[in-house]
Amino acid sequence: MTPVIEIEALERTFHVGPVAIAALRGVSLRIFPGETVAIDGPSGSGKSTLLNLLGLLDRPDAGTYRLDGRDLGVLDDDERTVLRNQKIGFVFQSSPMLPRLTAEENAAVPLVYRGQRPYAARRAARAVLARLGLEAFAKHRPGQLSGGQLQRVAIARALVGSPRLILADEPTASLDPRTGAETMRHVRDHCRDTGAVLVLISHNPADLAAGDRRHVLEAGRLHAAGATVPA
Amino acid sequence: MIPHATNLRIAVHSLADAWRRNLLALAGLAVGIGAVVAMLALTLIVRRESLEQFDRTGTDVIVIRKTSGATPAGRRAPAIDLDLVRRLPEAVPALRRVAPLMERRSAIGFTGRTVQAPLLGVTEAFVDLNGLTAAEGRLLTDLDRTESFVVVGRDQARSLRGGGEGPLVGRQVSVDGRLLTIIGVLAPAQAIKLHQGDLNQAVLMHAESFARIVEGAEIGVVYAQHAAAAETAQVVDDAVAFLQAAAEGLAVQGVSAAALLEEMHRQLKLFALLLGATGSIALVLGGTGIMNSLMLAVAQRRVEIGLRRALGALRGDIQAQFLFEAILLCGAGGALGVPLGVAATKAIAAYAQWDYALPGAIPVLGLGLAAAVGVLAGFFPAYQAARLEPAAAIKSVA
Repeated sequence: MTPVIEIEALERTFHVGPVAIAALRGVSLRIFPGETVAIDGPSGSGKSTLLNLLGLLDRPDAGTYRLDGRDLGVLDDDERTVLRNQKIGFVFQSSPMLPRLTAEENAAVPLVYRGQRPYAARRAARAVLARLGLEAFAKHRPGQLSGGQLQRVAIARALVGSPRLILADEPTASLDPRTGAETMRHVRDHCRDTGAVLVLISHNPADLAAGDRRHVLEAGRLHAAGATVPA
Repeated sequence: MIPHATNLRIAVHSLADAWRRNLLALAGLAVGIGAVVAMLALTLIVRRESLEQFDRTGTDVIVIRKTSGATPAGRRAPAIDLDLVRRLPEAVPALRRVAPLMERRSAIGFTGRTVQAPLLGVTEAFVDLNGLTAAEGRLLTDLDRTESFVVVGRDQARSLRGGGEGPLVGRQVSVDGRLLTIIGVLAPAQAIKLHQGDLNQAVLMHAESFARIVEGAEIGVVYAQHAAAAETAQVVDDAVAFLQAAAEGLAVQGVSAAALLEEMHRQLKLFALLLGATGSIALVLGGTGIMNSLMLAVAQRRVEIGLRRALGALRGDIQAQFLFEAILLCGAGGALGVPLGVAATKAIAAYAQWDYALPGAIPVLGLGLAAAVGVLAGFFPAYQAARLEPAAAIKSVA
């Protein structure tokens, strides 16, 4: 089976003045269709950097990244943007929203950038919001929603375009345990139904336990949970 | 790329979000556009006014003035007298019409009221040279040289009537205690460039009568029209040479209308340059305000930009969004600035008693300029926004 995600020896170093900080050191990972991979690790271990690289928000210094078998290292900025829009859904930790847009408009943004007519995009977004229990809040602006509701709008925005890869950073941090479990079930069901993969960063044991696989990032190195950290 | 209508909507929302800051930037630009519109309009109005004045008098007119009140020996310099003026056409054959002008501010009495008005001593040639016409009665001719007749300017006639409608022709006014008969009222006369006063306010009488009744009357200026084929500078030199040679100690200076016109064009150019510089500075300041506002918007909306980029906005989408904002802002500035400039032009034209006329191209040009400033002022912030790396832009929230 062809993996959806295949990264090999990925490296990323940041330079802060004369200091070089190696955020990722030779990270390799394969994720197959429908899989959920949970990544844990202490602060500063490189989790966000890995998520940015997987989400095509940043470029690695070395290593290869294939999405659905396509080498992404050769793409220019616009091609990466189009691919990101078509194949990747994001759930950022603090659920940033466009403040002047309603919940359904926010959730519809990826489809609008895909070229869909705003009305059709909003209708699709409304359907996803309804699945996440937010139908009544579709016309609310971000300022009128609670943290938990915003998080679910962010999840709806990640799911609306039926992406191949969903990247979630602490997706249930703002949700109560019951709503969190319910929301994660929706996301996992979506992945199972569409063959998409979910990479989630979380410190929530319930989220981590829900992953098909669990990895730990420590000092820029990725290893399977429970395995010995390579030197 | 997303549809422009969507970008436009985003731009409107974003501008509304920071309306206080944008209002300030917009006001700055409106002043700049207003200044440019007023500058262009006033330059055209002043140019037209000047040219019209010379159209009325022609550029084949020369002006001779006495330059000094004293001879080099310290004695009182002789006046340009009427006899000298009469001999001028013989001495300078190129001259066709010679029109001396005497002027004195006098007390004009009429029906028990007294008003101060410029009393002008002129000849028929002055009437012809200025193309004067009569609204009532008739104009002065050289046959009136021995008569005590006056012709009253349009506005002065109105003041003499004191709001009444009765006829003036045939009635008498007192000038410095002498009774003079009104033989005519001038039709509205444009104040000609060569004569600094307003003929509508004046009371005109024949120069010879003027010399007779006004104590110390003296010709202050002589206007003369020369044949079209004559060389103006030569005519001026000849006329000056004749007058100075004919009256010992008399010092006069001659200038041609063409030279005055040339000088006026030079002044107009300076005027236009000055206004242009003022308008340009105002426009640059306005544009800088817009750019500043947009730069601030880019800094404040890094997360939004990063989020849009993450969700699929191309660099071009972000650039277009900020350019739309700049153009909208500047368009609004133009929409406010053009009426502002038009109002300023109207006010200045009214104050200066110029005929107000605004070519339709100027407001269009003002709006076009506003859009151009929008593109220029918005380009750099839009470029900066488009260059933001999404990961770095949303780092604080990712």
